[in-house]
Formats: sequence, C-alpha cells, structure tokens
Amino acid sequence: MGARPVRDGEPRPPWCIGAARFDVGFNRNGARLIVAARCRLGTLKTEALLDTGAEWSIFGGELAEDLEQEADEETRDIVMDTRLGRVDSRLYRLDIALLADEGDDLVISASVLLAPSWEGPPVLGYRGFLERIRFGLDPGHGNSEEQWFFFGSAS
Amino acid sequence: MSKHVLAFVGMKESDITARHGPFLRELLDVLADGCLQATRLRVDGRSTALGSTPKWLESASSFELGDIQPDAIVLKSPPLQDVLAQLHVRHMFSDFDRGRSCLDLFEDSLEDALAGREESDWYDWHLMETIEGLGRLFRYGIKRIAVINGRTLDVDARAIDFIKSLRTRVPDDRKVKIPGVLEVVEPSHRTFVLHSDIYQPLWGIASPSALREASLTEVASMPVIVEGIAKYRPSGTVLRIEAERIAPVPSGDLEQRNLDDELRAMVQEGRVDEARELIRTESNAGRGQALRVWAKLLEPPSSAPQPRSSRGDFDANSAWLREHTNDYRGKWVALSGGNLLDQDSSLIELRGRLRAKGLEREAFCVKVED
Repeated sequence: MGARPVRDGEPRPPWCIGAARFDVGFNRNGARLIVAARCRLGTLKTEALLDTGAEWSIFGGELAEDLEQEADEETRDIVMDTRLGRVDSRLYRLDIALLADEGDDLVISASVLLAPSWEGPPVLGYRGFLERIRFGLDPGHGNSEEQWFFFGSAS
Repeated sequence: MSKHVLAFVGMKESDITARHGPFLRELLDVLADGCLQATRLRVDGRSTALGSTPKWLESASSFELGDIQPDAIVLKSPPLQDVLAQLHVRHMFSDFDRGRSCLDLFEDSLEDALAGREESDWYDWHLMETIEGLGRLFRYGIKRIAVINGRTLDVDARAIDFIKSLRTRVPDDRKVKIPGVLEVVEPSHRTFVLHSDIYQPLWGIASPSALREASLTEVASMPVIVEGIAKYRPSGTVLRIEAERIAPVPSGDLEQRNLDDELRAMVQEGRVDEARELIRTESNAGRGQALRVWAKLLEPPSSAPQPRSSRGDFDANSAWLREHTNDYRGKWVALSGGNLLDQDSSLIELRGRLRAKGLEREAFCVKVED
C-alpha cells in the first residue's frame, strides 16, 4: 500500500484497501473525539468519532444542516433515544469516504441520521456504515505516527 | 366526606402561622388548582384545557375548609361518585374507587410525583407545575408540609426540586399521525382510546374541530388516522393524544401506514435486522414498491475504493491545529496542506465561500475546540 515499512502481522490488501493515521482524544467539532477518523461526508472533508458502540452515524448542528443539502432527498423521520436524551432526526442516504494516507480511499454508500438538535460529536456508527466495512486499529506505542486505521470493503 | 390534614412542620412561634392571609391564599391556590387538575386528569385524561371550567369539574373538585390551627389546616371533600352521578359522567380516563374525593386524587398525584413514578397516568406537566407551587410556602418559615390522610406525604424543598427535575424530563409535545382503530369512551367529552399495532392503547381527546369527515361515534371501531399533538410522561412514553383531526381511511391505506410506522418503530427500538427482514417479506409478497424509501434507507451499506485524495495532509494539518488552537477557538477552519484557507464561526457561511472558490472538496474543515 505504500513505502512505509510494514510491521509484522499488519493488515494488507486484499484484507484492507487503505490505511490512515488517526487522532486520539482531541476536542474538535464541538466534542471530545476519542478516535477521530478523517472522512469526507458528501463533499465535506472533516473528522468524526469512530464509535462501534453507536448504533447509527449521526451528525448535528450546522453540520447536519449543511449535509442535508447534499444527502439523498428521500428520508424518514426517526426519534432516537441517545445518551443525551431523545433526538428528532432524519435518516438519509449519504456517501461517506474514509480518507487514506496509504492505499485508496474507501467510499461508502451509508445511511446516517441528520439531527440539527444533536449536541454530541459527529459519529461514525455501526448501522448503515461500519456494518459492512472491514477495519482495524493499530495503536502502535501511543505515538501518533504509529497510530493507523486500516479499512476495506467487507464484501 | 373525606378529611385531610395539612400540617406545617418547622414553624417557629415567632413565624407566620396558617392563619396568616397571604400564606393561606398561596396554599389554597395550589390546592384548588391541584384538585381541579387532578380530577380533570382522571376524568378527561388531561389536567388543563382552554376555555372556562366545566360545571361538572367545578363541582367535582370542590372542597371545604375546616379547622384552621396555627400550624395546620383541615380540609374536607365529598366522594366523586356523589358529584359525577348527578352530572351524568359515566366513564373515566382511569379506573379508580369513585368513593374517593378530589383531595384523595390530588394526593395520589402528589404521591406518584414524589416517588418519581415516571410511567404514572396521575400527573402531567401542568399538574407537576402546580404541585411545585407548594415550594412558595417555604418562604414563610416552614420546613416541611405533611399531608395526612391515612398516609402521610412529606413535601419539603428537596421534594419540590425533585418534582421540578421530573418535569424537565417530560419530552416536548410532538405532532403525530397515528393509524389505528378508535374506541369511543365518553362521546360528550370527546374522549377515546386508539388501538394500533405499534403502540400500547393510547388515550385521546378530540378537539371540537377534529371530526371533519365523521362524528366520533360514527368512526368508532373503524380504521382511522388520528392527527394531533402527543403529550408525554417523564419516561418518554405517550400520555395522551390531543387529536386535531380524525379521519377514516380505506383499509389498504391503513395497511401501508401501519407498515411505515412499524418499520419506524423497529428502527427506533434497534431492531434493524427485523426491519430488513420485514421489507424482504413484503417485497416477496409484491408490496415492495410501497416500502421503496425504507428499503433504500435500510439497505446495508456498500463500498468501493477510490484513488486516494489526501496524501500528505495529516501531519501538516495536525501541526497547524496544534499551533493555532488558541487563535481560533470555537471557529470552523478550512485547511489544506497545513495552510489556513478560510475561517468562520458558521460552517454554512464557510462552506458557501469554499464552494464559490471551488475548494469545497479540497478543504479539511474542522471546528477548533472552544
């Protein structure tokens, strides 16, 4: 996938098609992102919390308003119970790309919740997104240069 | 007549007593409103309504002021059965012993609120707000109010704060549109129970203008669509529907709406695999077109590789963010290759300018920590 020395046991193609560095524990996009994956939501390149414990991907505030312009028009209203309370949202289909520092980007035709009233972080969750992606995190030894997020299509 | 004692604990001799006019006025305000709202809630399923108070409610929620002592008052009220029978009110929102009085009902509501019973039918947002009015009495020097009538309910400042926090947990009213079959409870009060496949039976009250297409009794036991405002309990479940429109629907439409709501309920309850299976089953039965949007939204994600688009940006952009956090706190910044392209407190404004410059795909946009 690239010129970087491959470590023993590191995921390689075809298991994954791309790898990216990731940030840990930064306060950005209005909340603390423990594992922040760089991604493109529609045409917006940003970063979001990678959260296997979140049922759905969800984007709030102005991010939601901006993405509504780019998401598929057909939607359904959903009320979700979240750790921050009940949230009125809409389920949309939206292309999300995981951005690679090595190999290729992975573009996912995802289903996401857009909820202007959501005050939590932008979240990449399981349903409609991670559920068909093969991925792994290598934390290295805590040095940011050694932290790699590997991803590929599960199908 | 049931007898109720309200004792005011913690009054010092030098403090104001229950005989004091302003104190008594504030207390009676809460009790009069509380009895009226608790009674209306039991009969109609709502504690308040626009317009003047109906005659039956005035009678049913009346009580007498008995003995007034320095640190207590005694109240008496007749059983509701005596009042409601004369007024031809036959059915109630919830079953209870009609030998009970309006003061008993108010105490039931108070007891449930004090115990934090979030699923209770016996209080709603407005009644909780009224109960909180008891908190105003503490400025007269009392520490606690003991409501005594076979059971003792203690109300102190902490209990009032607790009820306030319970009230803040009640979700905001929401517009709803629910298919189901109507069971009319009391035509003269326009009360009904809506039976649907998705929810537990829902109590409802129809507004006078709700029945454009048929009267309430004519649509009883028929498939209908009820549109209106849902009022919630602190637990988040629906307490009642205040119907603004009730219309009969053809059975085919009802089936479609039921499916739509069933899928929504499945998604909201985390039963996504079940929802996908339902869509498959309906599609196999030739009804897939009706669920086309749900099928698209719940289709498992697909993915495809695309040539890498952000080589070299990570370190440079991360370095910029580390160095400039203090300068751009709370702002959205647009970066590329470690350089600031633009910044704004509004993402919408920032993205608008980036689009105009053709940079919307290139710029890495992030909100710097506050």
